[in-house]
Amino acid sequence: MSVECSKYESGVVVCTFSNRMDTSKCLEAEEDVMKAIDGAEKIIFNLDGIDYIASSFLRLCNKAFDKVKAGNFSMINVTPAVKRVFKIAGLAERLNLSLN
Amino acid sequence: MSIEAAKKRADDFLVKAKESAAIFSQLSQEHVDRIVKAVYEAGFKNRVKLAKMAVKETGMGRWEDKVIKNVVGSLFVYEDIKNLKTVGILSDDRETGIMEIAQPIGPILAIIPVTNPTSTVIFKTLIALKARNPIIISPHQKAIGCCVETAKICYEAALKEDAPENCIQWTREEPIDFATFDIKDYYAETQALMSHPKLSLIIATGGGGVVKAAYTSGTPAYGVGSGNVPILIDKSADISFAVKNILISKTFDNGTICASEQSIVVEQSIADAVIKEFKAQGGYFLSEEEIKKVEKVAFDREREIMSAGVVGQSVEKIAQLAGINVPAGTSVLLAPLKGVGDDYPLSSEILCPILAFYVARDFNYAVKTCIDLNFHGGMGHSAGIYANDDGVIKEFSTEMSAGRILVNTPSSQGAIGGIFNKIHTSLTLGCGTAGKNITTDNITAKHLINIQRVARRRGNERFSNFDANLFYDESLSTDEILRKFNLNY
Repeated sequence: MSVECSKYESGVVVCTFSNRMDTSKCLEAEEDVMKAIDGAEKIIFNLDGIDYIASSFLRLCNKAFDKVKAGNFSMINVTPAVKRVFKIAGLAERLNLSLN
Repeated sequence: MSIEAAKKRADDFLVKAKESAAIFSQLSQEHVDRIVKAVYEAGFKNRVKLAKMAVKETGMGRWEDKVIKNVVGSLFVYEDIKNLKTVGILSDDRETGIMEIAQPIGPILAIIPVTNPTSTVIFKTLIALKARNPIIISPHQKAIGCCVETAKICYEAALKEDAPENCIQWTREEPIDFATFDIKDYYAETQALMSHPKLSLIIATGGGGVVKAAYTSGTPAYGVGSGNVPILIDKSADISFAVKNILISKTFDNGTICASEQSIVVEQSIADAVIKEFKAQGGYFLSEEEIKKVEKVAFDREREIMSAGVVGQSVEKIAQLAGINVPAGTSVLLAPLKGVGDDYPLSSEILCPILAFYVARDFNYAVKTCIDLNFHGGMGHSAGIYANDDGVIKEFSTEMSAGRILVNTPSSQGAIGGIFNKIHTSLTLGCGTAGKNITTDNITAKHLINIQRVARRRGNERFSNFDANLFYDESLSTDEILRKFNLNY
């Protein structure tokens, strides 16, 4: 299992990813994530312990971001290495990473 | 295309490239090396197909020689860079306290020339990926089809090794229909890419115009300069060997490499022997009348550069264009000239099998002729000498303004490295400040990383033991200050 998603009554969905989100893990997780966040008010990606992300993970983040209103997507527990990836990609601000 | 449309197009490329660069920055050396190996193997495997495509599309050169260029751009480049460390800690010197760490530089725009299209795509892709940088291939407008095919082959191979998406992009999918396309649009697109704020570096290989555009774009750039390569055959040379090697080089791909020989300079004492040898090996010496005819087709007087129509063409084609008859099997046309400069068009760089030929009364005059040729449009590029006297070689080399001085070596293949010497294999030859470039190096993967220096504290003992207030005292002489500064050291 590369992701576990929890839905709360408030409409918040928290997706917790684990280990290395390479291309195959992202493909594996995508369906579960998209199903879980359908109709969500707020989405939180928990990246605790993630030390590598592939291109497809950036795409998954962008897809999730587009599912909710501006400001209602965020990421938590981002490691420095992964934060740097989002900064280089120019996605940190858009994906609400700035305070992580 | 409007400037806004060109900018939007550039933005699409660079957003993807930047994301690719971000993913790339996490890759280990082992992973990068796997990607690079896969790309080299794919380029090498397709060397013949791509060579034939290049010749067919551009109408320049010989497919057999383009195959060799593809071999150089893939196999030789790979062998040159495969053991280079480009990820993580490069060195850690405990004595100086300095640790060096390699970081990728980010998206690279690769300007690809019409003369060496597919080989340059493979080469630039390999060195960019080796340094963990995504690359955007911008082909010459007359070589789009073969360049795109090459880029696709490389990209497919890279993805199989789990390379970041969009690590290789290309600016066009299909060759341009020149009947309906405004070339200004092409320039606008290239300009928008070059000046895009997300672009990290341009590697511009091509004519003076595109290199200057790269340098003035505001983005850091490695460029090339024009060549006008003089070759001196010294009296200590093995004449037969020298002529054979010059012909191997000058006829290679019909002379399209910018490091190919442009002029041969010999001393009077060996002139007859050299002329005889050239004739024996298929060289044809033009008469004064024939020189005038060849000048007309080979040199564009208005633009003061070689005519595009002869670039990469065979001797037969050039003779036909000029309206002269040459013996069947002629390998090069040699033009005996009395001077260098605007009054002698064939003393300029012309990328086809034409050589200017000079006889100098002694070695000093020969070197001075080479200096004139060198300064006539070829500063910083390459020069060559055939000699078996190390003193002569050193004297010649010291006087040349050239990034590469090739000794007893075909200059085309010698300058790009890997075949006849140990300089780095490259299809982008830096020409130093004389050629308006930042380096005289053969550009390779090591130029595409940023090196961070972690500087641990290591005190300067003299400074620590010195009363720094003495630096403020203007009444003290320099000698007095230095005596105290160096005391007991």
